Amino acid sequence: MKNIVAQSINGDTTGQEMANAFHGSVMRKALALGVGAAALGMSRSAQAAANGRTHATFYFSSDPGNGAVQVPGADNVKVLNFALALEDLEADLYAQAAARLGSGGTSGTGTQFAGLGVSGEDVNYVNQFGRVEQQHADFIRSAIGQAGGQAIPKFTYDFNMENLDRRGVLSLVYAAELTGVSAYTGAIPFFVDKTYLAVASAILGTEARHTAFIAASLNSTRGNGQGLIATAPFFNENDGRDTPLTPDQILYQGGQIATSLSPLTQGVINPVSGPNGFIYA
Amino acid sequence: MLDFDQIVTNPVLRRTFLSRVGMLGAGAMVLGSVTTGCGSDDGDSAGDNSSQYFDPTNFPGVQGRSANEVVLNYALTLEHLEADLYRQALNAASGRELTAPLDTNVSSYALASADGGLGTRTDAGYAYLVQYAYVEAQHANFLQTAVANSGGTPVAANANGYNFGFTKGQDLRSLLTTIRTFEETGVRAYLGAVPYLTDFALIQVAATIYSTEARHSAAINYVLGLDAGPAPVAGDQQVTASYPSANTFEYFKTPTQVLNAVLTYFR
Repeated sequence: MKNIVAQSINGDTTGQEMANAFHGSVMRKALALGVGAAALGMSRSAQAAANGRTHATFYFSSDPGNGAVQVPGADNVKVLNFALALEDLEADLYAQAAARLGSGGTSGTGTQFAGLGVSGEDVNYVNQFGRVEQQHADFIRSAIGQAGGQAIPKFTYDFNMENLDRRGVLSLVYAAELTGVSAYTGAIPFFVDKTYLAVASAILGTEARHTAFIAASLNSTRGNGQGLIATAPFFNENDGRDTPLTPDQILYQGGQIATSLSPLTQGVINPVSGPNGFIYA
Repeated sequence: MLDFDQIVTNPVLRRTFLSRVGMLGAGAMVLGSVTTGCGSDDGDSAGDNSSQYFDPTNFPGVQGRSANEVVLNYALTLEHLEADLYRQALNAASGRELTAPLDTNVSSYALASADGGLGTRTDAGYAYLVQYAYVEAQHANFLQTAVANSGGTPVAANANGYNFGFTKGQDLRSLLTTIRTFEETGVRAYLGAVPYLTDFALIQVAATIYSTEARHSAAINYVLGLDAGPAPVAGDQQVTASYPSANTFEYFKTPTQVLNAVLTYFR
């Protein structure tokens, strides 16, 4: 399935535009659930909803009413599972990004994509940050286990890497990290106590660093006439602060899976067709 | 979820917020300047001792009537300093007097200093300097308004100003190198303050400033040719016993560590 095409960045692009494009194209389609439902101890109706489809979509608090199922777990574990889904997505994205920049690979839907065979600092960052995201995922999965919870299954994704040039790959990674920043800040109030707060915050900081560093890297290779990509919020953007999005906003922004979204005039990600450019492992 | 802007502008939410910061209690008292010599029972006079973590002696010299207010004033103390750091650095790099106020016209600045060897990263580095100068000033405004609207007394910027050793015309690389250390400290300061806040809505507000500081750190690190971080430095503390690698999680410093470090820049 093809659902994401990245284009070169032209002109100034606010971070939020790119993040919105990312939620719209990936996140709200991303979390799929299939045969793992029973293992997660979901309600019968939730299982039925999940089993009847190749993919189901998750929600956190507010049921969108289309057969979506709740993020598994209660209280802190539920928040951790939401974070884990994001970290798994990011880790998979980085792995595929590294493959696209390098010698090629295979998407979650089995699409073979060729490698661009490039090297440079950006490739090094992708490898480095990818390791960090995998460590985040491993840490959270382990924390859920230690808390006696059941971790959300690991999904794999199709990011249409075959359509991305070098800048497109980096732009997609940027958008995903930006989504991570909004997701972590937005998830904080859903923790029921401070048990995981410091660690979650310590992860949030690294997501923010990755976002800015990749933006700065993209800025250093921009063409003539291309504006700077936002490394951080501007002073008149939420008082110069990052913008939290609730888990449901991350999972379900818009409430519908769009089949087509207009290309952003100055954005990087142009979701052209859906649904479900992903598959669960 | 409650946003701090909502809290301070909506009377009903504000009432909730006021009770959170403890000012509705008849016994609410101004804590006054806390010194390290104060007894541990000083925390009771803060009007909100709901946090098992909160001990005002952990925030030497920072005023507030509650845990939340002390933490906000602590953050404001740092934002005042950062705002002035950027104002001075921007002046220095733009050929202006160090004492010049932040210009009301953001487009009026132009790089007048040497790049110090930043090469192709110079224009982006300068653009970040301009952008972040206004952001840090806004963070200070935001926290000031937040404390004032909750009925508290926002800590003022240091009356005699701050001395970072900048000179007019100083090269951009050295200016950003100094700024970098403060941004990295800022990240650690916010992470170290999180456990002291009692209210998740406020923690979220702090987190949105914290992540912005982390972004500033990383972008400046890029301009300077450094790793994205986090990279541990002396005195750093970990949020969990074992980090899988040095850059997996952020590090923090306690308010006492941070205040001791930054007070040397107060004139």
